[in-house]
Amino acid sequence: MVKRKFSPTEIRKITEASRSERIPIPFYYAPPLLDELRVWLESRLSSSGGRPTVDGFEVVRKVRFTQENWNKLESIARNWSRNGKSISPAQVATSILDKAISSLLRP
Amino acid sequence: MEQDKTSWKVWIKAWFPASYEHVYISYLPNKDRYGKEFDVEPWETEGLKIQARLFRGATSYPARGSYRVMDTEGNIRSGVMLEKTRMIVSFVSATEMNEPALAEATNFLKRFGQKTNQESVAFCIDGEMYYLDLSKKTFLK
Repeated sequence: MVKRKFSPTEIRKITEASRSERIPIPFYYAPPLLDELRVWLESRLSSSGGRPTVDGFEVVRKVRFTQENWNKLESIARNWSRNGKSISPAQVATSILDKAISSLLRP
Repeated sequence: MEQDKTSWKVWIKAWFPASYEHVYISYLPNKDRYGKEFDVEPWETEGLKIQARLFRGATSYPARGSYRVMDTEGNIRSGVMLEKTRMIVSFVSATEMNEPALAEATNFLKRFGQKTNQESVAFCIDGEMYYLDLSKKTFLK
């Protein structure tokens, strides 16, 4: 659990909030990140007739996945494809990898 | 998908250990206290700019919200109100979650609430929802 810098009482005092309440089911962490990745990927997908590819990603390599992780990537890809654009599990993996590498090499 | 979410949390903590320690979310509805719609997009843009300056970055999401208006005795004053709410989410480091930044971020919400005629505006920090009441007569639930 994240250690708080300010208690709710302190935050109410700083912001002049009249009241606060604990949200029992926090939804942060995963959904915003996944939403961010989906929006990022959708904005980069383009097609010249076949399956849409990710713009600017010209290197194609074979990589291996565990069956468990591939199943998860398939599950996310199915979810993301509900918006109309067909997204493959490999494209989901690409978006995650790009985000992870960018984050790790951030100055 | 619930199990996936849990494993995603573990994954994010492993890969982004120092990227943020707090989550700040502001909520901007597109209706005033009487249910009249207004253009919330300029406010959303300003909120994105303010949160990016204070907390390094922000992402907004279109959402739909609902609430009931109650008076101070808990009597329901309206049916269920629906609105299109914009959520502006920032992942914030411990250093940037400081008193001046919190005051400025919420001053923007107060100004938004006053200019767009809200009874109350809300923000969330680390799973705790805070309410800035702009009218002492009623509160939202």
